[in-house]
Amino acid sequence: MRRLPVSFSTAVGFLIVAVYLFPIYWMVTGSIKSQDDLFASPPQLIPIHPQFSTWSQEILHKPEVLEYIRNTFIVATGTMVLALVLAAPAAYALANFHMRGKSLIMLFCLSSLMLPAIMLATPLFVIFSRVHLTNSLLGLILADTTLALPYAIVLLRPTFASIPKDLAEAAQIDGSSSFGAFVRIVLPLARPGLATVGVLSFLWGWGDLVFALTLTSDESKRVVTTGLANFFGAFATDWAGAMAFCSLAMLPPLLVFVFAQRQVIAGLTTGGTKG
Amino acid sequence: MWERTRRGGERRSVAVRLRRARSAAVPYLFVAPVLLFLGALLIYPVVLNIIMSFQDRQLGNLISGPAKWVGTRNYDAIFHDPVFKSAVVHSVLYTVISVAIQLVIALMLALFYSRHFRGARLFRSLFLVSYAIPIVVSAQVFKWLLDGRGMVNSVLQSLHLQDQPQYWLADTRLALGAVIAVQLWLGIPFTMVNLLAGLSTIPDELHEAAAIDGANAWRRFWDITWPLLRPTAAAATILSLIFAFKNFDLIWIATKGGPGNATTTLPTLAYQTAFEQFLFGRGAAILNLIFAACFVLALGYIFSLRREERVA
Repeated sequence: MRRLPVSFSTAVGFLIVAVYLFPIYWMVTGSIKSQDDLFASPPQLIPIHPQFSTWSQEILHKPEVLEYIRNTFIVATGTMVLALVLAAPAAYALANFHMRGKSLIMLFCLSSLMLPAIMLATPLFVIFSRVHLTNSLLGLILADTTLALPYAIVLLRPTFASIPKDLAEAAQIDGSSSFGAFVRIVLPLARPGLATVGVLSFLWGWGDLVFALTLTSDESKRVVTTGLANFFGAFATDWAGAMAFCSLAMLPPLLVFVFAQRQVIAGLTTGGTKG
Repeated sequence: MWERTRRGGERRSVAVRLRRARSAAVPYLFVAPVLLFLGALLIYPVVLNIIMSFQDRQLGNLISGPAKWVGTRNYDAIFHDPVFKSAVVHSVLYTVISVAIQLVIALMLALFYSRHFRGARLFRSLFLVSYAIPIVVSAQVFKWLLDGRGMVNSVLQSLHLQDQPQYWLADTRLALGAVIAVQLWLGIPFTMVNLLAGLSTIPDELHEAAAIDGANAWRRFWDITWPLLRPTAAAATILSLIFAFKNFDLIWIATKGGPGNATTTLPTLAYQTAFEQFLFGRGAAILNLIFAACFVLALGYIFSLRREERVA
C-alpha cells in the first residue's frame, strides 16, 4: 500500500484539504477586505490591502455583539455541565448495575439520537411559556441538554463499562457509599469519555439555532446563531461585516476543536450528528 | 445475656435487610434524575405534539384556554396542501442526493487518507473543522460564495464558463441544487471520519496477502475492503440520512425555503406553519410526520448496529 512517493501523496492530500476548507479561508480574509476588494474580479485570493475597520466598527464597537457571545458562552457551558452531571451517574449505573428496564432505556436513548430539534421546539415553546422559561438562557440550556443527554449516555456507557468493577467495590468495602465510590474512584478514570461528551455538548450548545429561534425573542437573550440569522436588514448586504461576525462566532468552537480534536473524532465515530 | 445477643442479631438482620433494600434501590437513584428530566422535556413534549396535532391550536389558545378537537383535520389539510407535497419531494431529493454523493466522495477521501504518508493524520483532522463550527456560520459563508457577485460566479465568469452571473440561491431552478451541494460539504467529514475508523480495523496483512496472490487494487477493494467496511458504511449512511433530513439551519439561513417554495423542506415548512402562520396544530401534525420518518431511519440504524456487532 505504499507505492506512491511520499511527497506526491502529501502534495495531493494538502491540495484537497485546501480546496475543502477554502470557504472558511474566504470568510476570514473577507472580513479584512475593503468593499472594492471584496468584489474584485478576478477574485482577490490574498487580501492585498488588509484593513481592520470592519472588525472595529462591526464587532468591537457593537456592545450587542459581545453580549451575544457572552450569552452563547453561558448556554454552551451550561449545556455541557448539565449534560455531564445528569448523564454520568446514569451511564455508570446502566453499565455496571443489574436493573430492570436497562435495555429499554438504552433503546430509548438510541432512538432519541434521531430526534430533530425542530420536533421539540413547538411543544417546548408551549411548556416553557407556561412556566416562564421562554426568553431565558436557562430555558435554552434545558432545551439543549434534552438533546445532548441521550447522546451523552450512549457514549459514556461503554466508557464506564471498560473501568474494572473491583476498583469501586474495593472503595465500598473501605466504607464509601456507592455514590462516593463513583465520584472519587470511577469518575477520574472516565475522564477521556467525559471530555468527549463535554466537548460535543459544548459545540452543540454553541451552534444551536432552532431552540434559540423559537424559545427566545428578546434582543438581550440573543445568541450568536440568532444574531447571525438577523444580521442583514431587509436589503442591505454588508458582507465584510457578516464575515467578521462569522469569524468571531467560529473562533471559540475552532479553539475547542484545536485543543480537543481527539475527543471530537471519538464522538463522531460513536454516532454524533448535529441538530 | 442471651436476650441481648438475640436482640443484637435481630438488629443486625434488620440492618442487613435495610442495606440490601438500599443497594437494590441504588441503580435507580443513579438513573432517576435523567429519567425525570427526559420525561418532562422529551417524552412529554413528544406526547404533547401528538395531542396538539388533533387540536385547533392557534396563537390565542396556545398557552392556555380551551382547544377544540378537530380529529384528523390538520392532517387532511396537510395532505391537500401542494406546498406540503413539494416539501416532501424536496426533503427526499435533498436527503438522498446529498448523502449518495457524499458517500462516494467520502469513501474516495477515506481510502486516500487512510494510507501512510507525511501529513495524512493532520489533513484528516483538518476536514473536521467544518464539523466543529456552527452550521449557521457555514451557511452564511456559502450564501456569500453563491451570491450574484460572489466568488463562484466570478470564477466561472473568469473561466468563460458563463457570461451572466447566476443567482444560485435566488433562482428557483438552481436553489435546491445549490443547497444540496452545501449539505454535501457539511456531511463529508462525518462520513469520512467514520469510514476511516472502519478502515483502520482492517488488518494490512489481508491486503498484503492478496497482493502477493496477484490481486490488483480494484479487486482488493471489492473483495477485502468493501465487505469489511460495509457495516460501518451502512451505519454512517443512515446517520447521514437523518442528519440531512432534519437539517433546518442550513436552509433557513441560506434561503428560508425560498425563492417561492423552491427549497422548502419538511423542517422549514413545520417551522413556518407553527411560528410564522401560528397554526400550531397543523405544525405539530407536520412534525409528527417528520418524527415518523426519523423513527423509521432510527430503527434502521439500531438494526445496522446489531448487525455490525454480530459481524464483529
